[in-house]
Amino acid sequence: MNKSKKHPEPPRWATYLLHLFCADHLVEEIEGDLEELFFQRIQLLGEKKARIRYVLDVMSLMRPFVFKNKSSDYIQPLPGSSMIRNYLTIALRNLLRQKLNSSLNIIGLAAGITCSLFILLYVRDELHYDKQFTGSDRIYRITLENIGEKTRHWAATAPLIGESMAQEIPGITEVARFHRPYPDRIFSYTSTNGTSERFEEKSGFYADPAVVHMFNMELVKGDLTTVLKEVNTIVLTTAMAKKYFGDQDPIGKVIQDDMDNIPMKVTGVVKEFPFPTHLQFDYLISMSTRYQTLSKEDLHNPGWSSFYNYVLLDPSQSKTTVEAKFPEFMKKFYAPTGETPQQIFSTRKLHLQPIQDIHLHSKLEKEMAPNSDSMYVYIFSVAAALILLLAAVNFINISTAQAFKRMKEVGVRKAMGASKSQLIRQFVGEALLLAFIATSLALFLFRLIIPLYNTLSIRPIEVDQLFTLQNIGFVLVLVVLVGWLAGSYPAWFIAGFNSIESLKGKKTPRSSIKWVRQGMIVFQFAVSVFMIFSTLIIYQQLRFFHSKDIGFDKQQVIAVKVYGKMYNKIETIMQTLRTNPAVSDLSMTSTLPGDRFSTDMFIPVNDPQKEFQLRHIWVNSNFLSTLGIELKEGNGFDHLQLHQTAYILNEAAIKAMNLDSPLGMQFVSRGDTGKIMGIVKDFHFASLHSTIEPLVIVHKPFQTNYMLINVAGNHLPETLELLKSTFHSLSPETLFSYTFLNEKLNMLYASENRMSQVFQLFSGLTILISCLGLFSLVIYTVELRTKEIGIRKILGSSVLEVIMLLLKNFLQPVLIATLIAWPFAWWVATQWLQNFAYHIAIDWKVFAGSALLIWLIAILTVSFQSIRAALTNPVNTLRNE
Amino acid sequence: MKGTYLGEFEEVVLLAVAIRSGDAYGAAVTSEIEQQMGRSVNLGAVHSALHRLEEKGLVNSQMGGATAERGGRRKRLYSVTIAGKRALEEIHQLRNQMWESIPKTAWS
Repeated sequence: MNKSKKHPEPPRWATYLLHLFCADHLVEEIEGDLEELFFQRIQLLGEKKARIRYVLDVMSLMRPFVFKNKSSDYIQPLPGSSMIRNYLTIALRNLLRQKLNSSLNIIGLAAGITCSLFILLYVRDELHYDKQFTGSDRIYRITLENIGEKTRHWAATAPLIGESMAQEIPGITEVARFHRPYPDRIFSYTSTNGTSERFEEKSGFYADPAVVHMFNMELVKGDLTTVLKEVNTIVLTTAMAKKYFGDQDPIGKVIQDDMDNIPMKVTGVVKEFPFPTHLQFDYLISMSTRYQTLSKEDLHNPGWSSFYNYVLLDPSQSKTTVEAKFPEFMKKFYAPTGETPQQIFSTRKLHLQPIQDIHLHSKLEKEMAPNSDSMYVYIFSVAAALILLLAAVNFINISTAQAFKRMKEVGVRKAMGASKSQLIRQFVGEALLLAFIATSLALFLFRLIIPLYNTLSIRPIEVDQLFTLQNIGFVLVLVVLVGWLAGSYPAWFIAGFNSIESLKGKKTPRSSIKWVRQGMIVFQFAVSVFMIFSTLIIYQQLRFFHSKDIGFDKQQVIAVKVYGKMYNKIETIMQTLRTNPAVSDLSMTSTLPGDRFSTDMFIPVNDPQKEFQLRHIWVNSNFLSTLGIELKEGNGFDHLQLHQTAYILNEAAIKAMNLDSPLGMQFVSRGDTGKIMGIVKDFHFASLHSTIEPLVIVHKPFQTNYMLINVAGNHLPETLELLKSTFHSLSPETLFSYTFLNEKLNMLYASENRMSQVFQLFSGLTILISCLGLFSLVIYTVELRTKEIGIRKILGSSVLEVIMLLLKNFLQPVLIATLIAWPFAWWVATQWLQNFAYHIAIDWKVFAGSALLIWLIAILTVSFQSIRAALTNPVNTLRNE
Repeated sequence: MKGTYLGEFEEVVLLAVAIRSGDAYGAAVTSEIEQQMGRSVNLGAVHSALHRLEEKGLVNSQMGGATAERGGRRKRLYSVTIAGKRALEEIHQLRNQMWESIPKTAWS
């Protein structure tokens, strides 16, 4: 501090403090006052006291009005704050003044957003399958591709292929297998007080202990290290444990496999996967249990594709480095078949399939369960985008129409000095506000619809899992995106008004805007026509699936599961049922049409080198007559001994094997030799997605799992009761489990069915949104032309003529939309139908139907307002000028 | 008139502005009050009073020109408005009226 007497100075720190808190525009005068007083006081009181007073004065200046405060900058108030308030007021007033238009606008947008939210949720779910295992990016499934005349790509592979691979190829750290019991198990649990529960379990596997670690299964009960190791042990999911044991502790309890008569001890309860995965099961039985009944030949048979082999690769390895070592491995692994390396490589190929690809990109033979398809993800994403776009277009349409009512406002604003960018910001802001309101409404609707969605969807939405930061952020982005998308064009357009014209109240829009608006209507209706067209096609194809003559009788057939102790009584049961007039015919079969028919070798006795891999079914004598399958040549299995092996082939099999005179030829299948007894016409034992495959029907009454009963007349419910009581009385300790063949076959088209429902919903929504847009446009135009209509009427136009005038104006874009949409819809439909070996032809009715429907809807939408306009008394419209 | 109530200190400050009319700025007003009343006054109190008076419309202000003293810093010069004058007059009159009303016997 400078203490020289000649140049005394006020304390610098106090000055510095003043600068810290004092507002900029006040600092000059205050500092001046302080300094002046300081020097005065030096004269009067001496320097010391002056310094003290200086500091005290600075302290006393710490008052609110002196403080730095950016927003209370009272000399030059910020230009925005009051304007923003004004914008908000004007926006809300406009919303309220045009209640109809605003609500149409908001409803359209909200409907679009709600719908896209659901679709996005579904799509996200589909894309997240199998992504949440710790090693998701390193787990692969071994698949086998048969190359040759008939390529088949198998999801399941040989029992020991994974294990041997881990030994031969370095870099495979873990191997885990699943193996599905066939047919579906029936389990029973007898509690200590003697009551027993019995259920058919359709979803479960034999599994290695390694699955627990590889797939991060979470045990609710049981020991992680020992589970699935012991023979005859089982692990249940929490849901299944609850089904059998209620609230009791399941550990140590015994569940009986009624099919194989094996008691199994429950050693663990596993939590269901909390994320989407293709691994769906209710129980897992230890693999060692399966090994008990497995012969050594089967176990070491490299050609038995029946185990799902999963491998975990070391992080240092990649799919390609491991696959590069496959040829060497295959030479060794397939050596026991006696094939030369050349033969091995020419007939098969091994692949590693990333586990994350399974759900959307895998349609192999013997999948664990039918997978989804990436096509559906694309379709749904495009649909979501389209609907959102439609809603935005709608918004643009309504906003631009409304804008003319606000010409004066814009004119005044411009005259007052509003810049174009300011106006744009104002109108984009308004759009954002509307988008925000619409989104809030959409979220509300979304919450309401969730229960409905959950009944339709496979994976229900958990409400409390939705409120993540990510989702909230996403919705915010959506609001801004939609608001910006929908608001920027109207804003740009409005801001471009000539201020003089707009103040004069000139309402005739420039022709460019007319074009844009017509274009948007065309776009909306083109999408609507497209959706209707697609919906019709899907519907027709579905009806075709259900109504096509599939070559056998499916309507009145009941399939009853036959297993375990039931076999002992099966002859008696059949005898009893045959005598009943309600049963027209019955037979036994190994597989039900609609299930996957297994493939097996079919070898001619006279030429054993020639092997055919064909689908097989094992049946007893009455199979053909029960299902009403038509015999083309030869005889059925009518006069055969019980143990005699014999074959009937379908036409496709004859063609595939290229046989000239097949009847009487000897063939070997599964070690038994028999003659071909007959040929049947092709029938659709699988879904209509694929062509009819070659089929061998084998006479082998003891290889069967189901009894097929064809019911006579219209007595299905009564007959079912009869069957139930017959089975119960003759075989009391077994479960009577049945399916209707018809329903089973319909299940094959479940995904098409769901798609049909979803498309109906979508097309309804697109039509709704398009009509909202058209409707508001009609209101606007009619308003614009009220005087014209009045004059026309005065000059002698009839009501009908006026209506026609207005209709013509609006139906033109709809007509153009139809013409644009047709070829596009036709092309997409053709592509989709390629998925099915058997499909409908697209005929003119679909074209006509889609057009008629949309025209009818458009006419209805337009005519209401048009008629009202045409009926108004011209006096009312012309009076006030 | 709304908001024209004058506190005691405000009245003093307003009077000081009137006294130094033409040259009434923060420091001048402060020293004027100190001289007239013989007591020390905080600059902050004066500024805040001036600010309030200006809000009430009793004084107005404008920035003066640069001067050689006080480091060339400009002064904010205050002057009493008509409303301010009227307020002072009213107070004066009120006081006088009250003086007149004191009975002579009160002092004996």
